[in-house]
Formats: sequence, C-alpha cells, structure tokens
Amino acid sequence: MKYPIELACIIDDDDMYINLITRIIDAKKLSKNLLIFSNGKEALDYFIAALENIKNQGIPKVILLDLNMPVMDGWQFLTELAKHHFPNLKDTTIYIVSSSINPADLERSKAIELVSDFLIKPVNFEQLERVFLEEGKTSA
Amino acid sequence: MDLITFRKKRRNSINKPLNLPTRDPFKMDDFYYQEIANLTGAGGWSVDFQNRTSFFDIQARRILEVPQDFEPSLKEGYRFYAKEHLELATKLFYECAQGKSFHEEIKMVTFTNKIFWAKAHGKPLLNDKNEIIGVRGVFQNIEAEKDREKKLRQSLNIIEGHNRRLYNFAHIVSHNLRSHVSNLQLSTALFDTENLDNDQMDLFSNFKEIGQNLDITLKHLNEIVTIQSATNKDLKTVRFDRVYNTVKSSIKQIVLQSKTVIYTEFSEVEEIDYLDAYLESVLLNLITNSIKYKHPDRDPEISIFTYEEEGKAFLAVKDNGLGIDLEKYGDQIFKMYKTFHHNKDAQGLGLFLVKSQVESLGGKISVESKLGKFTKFTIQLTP
Repeated sequence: MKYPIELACIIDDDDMYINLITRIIDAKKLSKNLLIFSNGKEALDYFIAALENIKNQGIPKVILLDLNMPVMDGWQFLTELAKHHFPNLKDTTIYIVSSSINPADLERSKAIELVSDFLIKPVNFEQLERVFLEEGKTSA
Repeated sequence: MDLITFRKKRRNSINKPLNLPTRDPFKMDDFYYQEIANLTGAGGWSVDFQNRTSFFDIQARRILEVPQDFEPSLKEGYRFYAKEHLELATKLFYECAQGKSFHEEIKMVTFTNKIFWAKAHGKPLLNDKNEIIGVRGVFQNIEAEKDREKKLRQSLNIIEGHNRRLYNFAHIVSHNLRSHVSNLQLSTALFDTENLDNDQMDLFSNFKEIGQNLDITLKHLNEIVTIQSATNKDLKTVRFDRVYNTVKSSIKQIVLQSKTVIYTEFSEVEEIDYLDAYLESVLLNLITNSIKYKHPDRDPEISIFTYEEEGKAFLAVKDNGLGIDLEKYGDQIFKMYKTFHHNKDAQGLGLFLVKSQVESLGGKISVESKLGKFTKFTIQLTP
C-alpha cells in the first residue's frame, strides 16, 4: 500500500482530537508516520533540532497546527519558526486547523506566508483526504 | 449683550472713569438681569483695579453663602476656590488682568466651606483708552450638572463592563464549545454503526443530530459576536444594484421556483458607505423572508427601493405576502428565535441579525404590515 505522504505532523493540545484525527489518517492511509506535539514549544524544539541537522530526514510534508494551546500557541509558533528562515521548510505545508470561526483569525492567518490554508474544526474526511492527496502529488 | 456690568459707586458715576454702557447701571439690576440670573443660577463679580474694590452681586452672594455684611476683596477672593484649583484660579485671574478672557470649569468653595463645581467666565474691563481697569465675570453653580455627568459616566462604565463580559462570554462559548462539538461530530462520523441493532441505532442518530444542532447554534452565536466587533473603519462605498445582483444570483433557484417577481429602483440613492456583507445580509434575509412567508393565493412580488429623506439614506423592501399581526407580535418581530408562522424553515434569526447589523452601523429598521396583505421593512441606513 502506497501512502501519499511519508510524514505528517499534528500540533494540538486536544487529546481527543488527536486521537480522532489519527484514526482517520490511519483508516484512510493518508500518511505513513505521524509526529504529534501537544503545544507549539514542543514542536518548535523538534523543528529547530531537525532543520539544523542538514539532512532532510524527519521534516513533515504537512503540519496541522492548532491556534489555542498552552505554553506556546499557534501564532507564536509560526512567528518563532519564521525567524529561523529554514530553507528545508519550503517543501512543508502548514494548515491551521482551529475551532475558531472568528474572521479576525482567518484574516491574520492570510497574512502569514508559512500558512497555506485555514481549516475550521470539525474537519471532515474529505477535507483531510484532499489535503494529504494534494501534498502527496506535489512531492511526487 | 453683556448683562453683567461693573457696579459703579455713585461717586464714580460723576467722573465716569470706567468703560460702562451709557445706561443707568442701576437699571441693570432690573427685571431681565434678575430673571436671567435666577434662570441660570449665575452670579456676577468684579474687581476694580483703580479703586481697589471688589464686588459680588446678589446671586453671587447667594451662591457663595456670604453673610449680609460681607465685603468682598481681592485678598478674600481666593478663599472661594477649592485648594486644588487655587493655582488655576490665580492663573486665570492674572491672565485676565493682562487682557485674556477665560471660560473654565472650576471647583469653588462657599463661605460655609461647601465645595461645588462652577462654570466661570471672566473678561478684562477696559476704559475708553483701551486700558485694563478691572476684571469682571460670572459664575454658575453646575454641581447638579456635574453630578449628573458623574452618574452618567458611572452607568456608562457599568454598562461597558457588562458589555465586555458579555462579549467575552459569547466569545468563549462560540470558540471553546466549538472544539467539543467538533470532537463530537468527528466521533459520530468515525463510529462504526454496522453492529448496532435498530434500537441502538436510533439512539446513536440522536448523537449525530445533537452534534449538528449544537454546531448550528454556535454558528449563530458567532455571527452575533462578529457583528459586535465590526467598526466604522471598514466601511466602503457599495452600490445597491451590485449588492442586489450578488444576492439575487445566490438565491436564483428559490426565486425561480417560487415564481417571485422582484422590482428594484435604486436611482434616488445609488450607493452608500457601508459594509457590503451587511447590506447583502439585509437584502438576502428580507427577500428570502418575503418568499418564505408568501401568500398561498398569489405569487410573491417584492419591491425594493432606496430614497433620501432629511439627508438620510433609506432602503425599503415591500412584499405582498402573508403579513404579520403587528399588534400581537410587533415588539417581538426583531427578537432572536421568535417565529410567527408554523413554517419549518423558520429559524428566528434572520431579522434579529438584520436589526443588529443595521444598528451596529448607526441605522434603524422599522416594519409596517397588514395581515394577509403586505409587509414592508424600512431601513434608515445612515445615522
């Protein structure tokens, strides 16, 4: 069985959501491996370590990023990540996945170059499938 | 007309040292002066630099509660200003003595040490050689006014606090509750229903429906929250015909199926500075309402037109539908979750949203209707 994506990443503090999304990704075989972080800081530490290590290993194709998280929220994570200008990050697509339906959040996300789209929770199967298949295509 | 004049002493009136009106100064204490002083509660004072005398009129004496035999003097004058405003009073007086008039709100003190807010005006007094020979002015006790202002500000603070808490509440509800609803919906979507018997399946479909309903309710709540946060800075010039066309194409099917005829006339007011999303929402809600509540015996006809009255822009939407008994429901028509016809599409949010949107931009909405004949909504768009 061929997976569209080798490695995807979920940054979210909601365990139940992670559990559910993992089930969908597994059931639909959308990604071979999954990286899971429960806040922006954990994820940032990982990315800095992985990206400074020149090899392209362990860099996810897709990041599903929540906004409201303890310690370091999604916005802070994006700001911090952007400061490092990692060239290897150019093949990674970041999606904000939030339950926020506040138009201000949507506007704010549009202004951030690293972010390619804003998905509103609950994400449905089709949306998720489309994201992963789309990314799978571009990497092929 | 300056009714307050420098009181002249009789000996002064002989050689006329002051720049006074030619009228007999004693006439100034007459009817008009008294009545205006009573009406406004304003007292007069003056300082004559040449004769080194000061003067309070009757009203000033009353406001300052000075004893009968009190003789005002420049030195004594400062006792009538509150400590924290003494510096201001001194500055105003000296500047006035140099030729600069003043209009100020200042804290004063009565002879019996009661502090009150006063509105004080002062002007230099000139002789015919344009030399400053004195200072005179009026002051008015505005304690009641200040008190009202203070109470008003207090109520405003309380209301602002309530409003902020309400806004936060709505935000928390629409945001945090949504993540739970989202998980509920995902869980039901993933749930394997194959092995459920009919009874359990029945129960399970409840979960699905609860999730959907919660989601809809939270979306409504969010729409209301976002209305509160829209501000005037986002206004753009929008053309009525363009917005109408957008709305019309989005509901083309409903209009066709219901055989609705819509007449529009936007020539009197063609465009307005507004939020296009709000104008779209207003037109969409009113048109779909007219179609939803059409009369069973006739096809819907809707007229939409703009006009100007007393410099304000109006939009009117009139239909030939069911109408509504305004005597019975008039005060409820714009309220949330109020529906008046047993129509299953009715959600009771449309008119509430329209009213909130119109009012958030300073406008007003009103309704006229005759049961079985028509309903007409009139919207004053500009404040």
